[in-house]
Amino acid sequence: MPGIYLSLLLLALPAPSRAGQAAKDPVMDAMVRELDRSFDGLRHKEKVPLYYMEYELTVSTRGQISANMGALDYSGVTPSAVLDIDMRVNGMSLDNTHQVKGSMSWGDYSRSRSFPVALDGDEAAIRARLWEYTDKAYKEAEERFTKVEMNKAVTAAEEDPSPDFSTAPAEDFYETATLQQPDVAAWGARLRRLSARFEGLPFVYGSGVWLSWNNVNRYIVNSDGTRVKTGNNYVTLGYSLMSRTTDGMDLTRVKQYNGDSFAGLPSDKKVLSDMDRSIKELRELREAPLVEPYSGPAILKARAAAVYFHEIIGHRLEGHRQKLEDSGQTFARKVGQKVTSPIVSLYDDPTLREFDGIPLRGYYRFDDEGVRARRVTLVKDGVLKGFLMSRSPIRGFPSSNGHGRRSPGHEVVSRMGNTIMTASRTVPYSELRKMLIEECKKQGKPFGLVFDDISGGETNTERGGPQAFNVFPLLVHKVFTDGRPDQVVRGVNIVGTPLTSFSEIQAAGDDPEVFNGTCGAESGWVPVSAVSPSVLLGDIEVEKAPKSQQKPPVLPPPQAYGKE
Amino acid sequence: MKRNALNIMLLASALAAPAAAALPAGDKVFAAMRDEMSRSMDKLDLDGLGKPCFMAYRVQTGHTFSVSASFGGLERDYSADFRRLGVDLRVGTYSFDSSHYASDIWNGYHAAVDNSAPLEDDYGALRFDLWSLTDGAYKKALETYSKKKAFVESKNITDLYPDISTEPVHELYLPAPVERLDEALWKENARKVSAVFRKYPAVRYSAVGLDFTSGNERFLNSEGSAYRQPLCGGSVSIDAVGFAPDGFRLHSSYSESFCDAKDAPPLDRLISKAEEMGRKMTEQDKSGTLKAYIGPVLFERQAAAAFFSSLLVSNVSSPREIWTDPNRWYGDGVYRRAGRLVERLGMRVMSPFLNVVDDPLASYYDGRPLTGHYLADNEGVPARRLELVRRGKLVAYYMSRAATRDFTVSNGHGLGALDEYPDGSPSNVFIDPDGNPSKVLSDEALKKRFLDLCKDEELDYCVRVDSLNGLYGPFMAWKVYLDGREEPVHGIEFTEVTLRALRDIVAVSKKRGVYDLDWTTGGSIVTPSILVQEMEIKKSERKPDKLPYLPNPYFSD
Repeated sequence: MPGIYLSLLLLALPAPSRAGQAAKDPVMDAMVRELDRSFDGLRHKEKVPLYYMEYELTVSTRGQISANMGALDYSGVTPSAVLDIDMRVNGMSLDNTHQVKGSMSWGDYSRSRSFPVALDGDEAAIRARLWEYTDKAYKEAEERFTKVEMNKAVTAAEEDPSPDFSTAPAEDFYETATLQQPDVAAWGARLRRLSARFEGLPFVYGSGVWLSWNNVNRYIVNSDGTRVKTGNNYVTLGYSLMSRTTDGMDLTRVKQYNGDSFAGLPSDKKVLSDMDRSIKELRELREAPLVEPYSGPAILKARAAAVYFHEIIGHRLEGHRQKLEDSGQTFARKVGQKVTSPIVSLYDDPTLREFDGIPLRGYYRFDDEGVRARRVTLVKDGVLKGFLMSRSPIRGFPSSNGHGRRSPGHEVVSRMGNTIMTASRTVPYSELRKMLIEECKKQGKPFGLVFDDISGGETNTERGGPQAFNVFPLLVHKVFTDGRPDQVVRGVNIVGTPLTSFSEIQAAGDDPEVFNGTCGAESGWVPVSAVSPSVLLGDIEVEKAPKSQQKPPVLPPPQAYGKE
Repeated sequence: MKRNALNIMLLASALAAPAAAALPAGDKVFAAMRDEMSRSMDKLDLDGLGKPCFMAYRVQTGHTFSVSASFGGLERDYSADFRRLGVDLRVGTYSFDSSHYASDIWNGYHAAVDNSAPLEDDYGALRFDLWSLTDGAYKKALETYSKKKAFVESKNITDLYPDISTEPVHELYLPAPVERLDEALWKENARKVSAVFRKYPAVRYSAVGLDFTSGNERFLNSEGSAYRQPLCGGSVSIDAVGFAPDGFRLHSSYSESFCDAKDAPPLDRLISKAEEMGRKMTEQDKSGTLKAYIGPVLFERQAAAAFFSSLLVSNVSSPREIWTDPNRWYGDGVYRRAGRLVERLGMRVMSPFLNVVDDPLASYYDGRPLTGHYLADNEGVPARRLELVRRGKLVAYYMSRAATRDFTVSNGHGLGALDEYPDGSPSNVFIDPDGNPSKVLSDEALKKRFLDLCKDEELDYCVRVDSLNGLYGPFMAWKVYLDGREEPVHGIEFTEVTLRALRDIVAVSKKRGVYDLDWTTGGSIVTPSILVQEMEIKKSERKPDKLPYLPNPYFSD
């Protein structure tokens, strides 16, 4: 099954600057010339014609500085330029990308690959590599089409007979995202200082503080005439600390601050104050009792709710999953039907750069098929309205809405960008908490759960396995109905099935927050954001979380030696 | 009885602990290593299961620089400082400890490593990382030890030899500064060398790479042996791919290694090497193939190095087996076998006019750097020149501190990458022919002997090869006709290669060259070209590719 994760990882975006014209860019020029030459030259080389090709070149400069216990442990900047090629043969109704079903599907998974090209814009070098990779990709496309044709002949008809590809307008856009490199010495000193906060704590078994930045520019040219260069910047400051309980459970606290420039990062004062809170939480978690499997009312606080929506419905609204024959297709035939509480609306809008002043990682202007990004309404007042679409059409949705995404080396599928949940009725969080207690009393439960923080989640969207999701909480509180103080607990994962779980949403807070993360699926790891207010669910189920089974360290950390 | 005596003696030395080492004053890295090791040896004892019986820390510090280029364009550019930690921690006794057993075949047989240790000499941060790494290694050692004990008890194994030999404590502290290449210049050099192939359309795809690591390695063990010595590794590689007329993919590669920045190969040499590869590929572009061949083979230059590396060097290395839980992949419980010549100690393994020595103390041959140079091996044992083969007879093999039936102590060849446990390994191998004038010939005389042999065998042609990527895949060669005429051939493989070939060497060249050894810890081989009486060659079963549909735009626009 494709592992689909939303992990904690943050970044933001810069202000791309308009600079010059595509025609003056030697990289763009090399790509266009080689694309034109290859498309003309290869189009009718074999019996099955080449009908579409695209080059996407991702040029990035990625840097990181990290520190641990008061000392730097990495500092480096790595440039890269890698190419993706999409080649399609035969025609839009049936091409080489068509799903291979049945027993032949075994081993027909898409493979990640790395096609490096010259970093320095040398035209001859770039074109020589494009030629080399194009030849390889074309041969693979022809070979795979032979398999597709045979497979289609010997397997049952598909439920959704939609074509494999759709038309999209040719786009012409040029921008260059630039990012001023940070003052490495100053940041090194700062990270050393921050990381020293974790020194001497006997229960901290590992920790780190890091600054990472990535300046990414993508060139997209295709045989439809699209000529796009577009870019993003991602800057993250983060820290983590971990411990382990005597019963072999790893405990982690992680915090990341995302921006699209260094200027937007928080002050040391803010970071140190957050670190102190994380230290306190980690200490409490070590002492916290285990929760037994439970089913009952719960609040997912805003960021946790954002992950929840991403996992339980977001992935299931990715267009290609509605026609993959081995996909659960939970929502494929539910357009126009009620799928959740009427207070819930959900949309995905990659064109939003920020939400309430917080940069969104899921922002982009063009997707990886060169299609202009646009807002798409997924759920309106509880009724399913649409899907996230790449250029692979599905029944009732013949064209892309700019959600075809990938990380370099993978094939494009439809993915989320900025997924935003809004509620038609909201209450202050304090009111939501009261409602939780009331709901517990109504159900005869002595306590409800509040999920403060979540590391990520995973969901299975394939048939053959349960259509279930898992969400991994990092910090959970029990809220008692008898007025006792809240209690930190540990050792549970949220588990559920989407249709049931989604119908349990009873109320929402007025406190939307952003979860900036990186989402992994079959087309690789892509930056995403999810936004949601806190939500009250009438019933949520938790199960025991897996443990590492490792004992805590035999000796205390050296700095804490003698302190315990 | 004998084993008990050994235990008592070694227990005493283990308790002596690393504090005994006269570590360089003010070296905070060594201080952190010593203090954390002392604490671990003294206090680590999980639920009374036993303290470590031996520990060694390795700390590598330096800078790495790596670039690659293709067709005149720079494609990779990486430059960063590093510090890496490795720990070898054993439980049990010196006679029988937790080593030489792969407890988890998925993760292999590896030492614990931390690749992102503090770059700075920060005592507290270093001790924290050493502590964390040591804790994991200790728990793993306890588990491995119990599995190994159960394995041995379930078998009737009579030839058990001590896992750690007794060696004198040795200390060595060399200055080992971090060197930097002129990185801007080498980016340019990589570009320039890769641009040579713009002159050779027969080279369809190509790449040029340079990797250079410089720094130092600190070592300390629980007996008080310690060293600080240079850590360096540099190599330049050139790879070219072409196609024979039938579509068979032709590979040509060249690599040259060095240690010090001053020994980096000059640009003009690399350019002329690339030119030579381009010309050779252009000739091979018209090459044919052959169905089958049995007869003499002349292994010239790098091909001779590949021949010895594959048949001799790897078979006198790693003399101890690594065991594992018997399973469907390792049914007999042997995870890694010992070198195949180890069992033939004292027997004739090569032609009697050949001697082989390995000398880690040598650092140059004929002006070329030898990359196997060191003064103490990765177990802290002093390096020693080792005679391996005397007049064709095997007289020794590479030894680490793990004893064997034949040797109870190390011969200073215990080497391993940071994530490997040190094992008997090569450094600088010298193939030394004796002075027999009928066997050691000038290049011309060797070629003549080759053709004479060919004539004696009543063959129309014989096979000459000057570049090989091991003995077990397709390679390019030349058919040499009796009149000296040559034709390139491709898509052929050696078949039925056995150790017998080492005894079938009938003559060698006087002139010797320096080549890289294909080994995880690097090393060099100094070898003449060799003439082997008989090898079997067959047509490769690998299928040719479809030729590129379009020409490289550079040659067609």
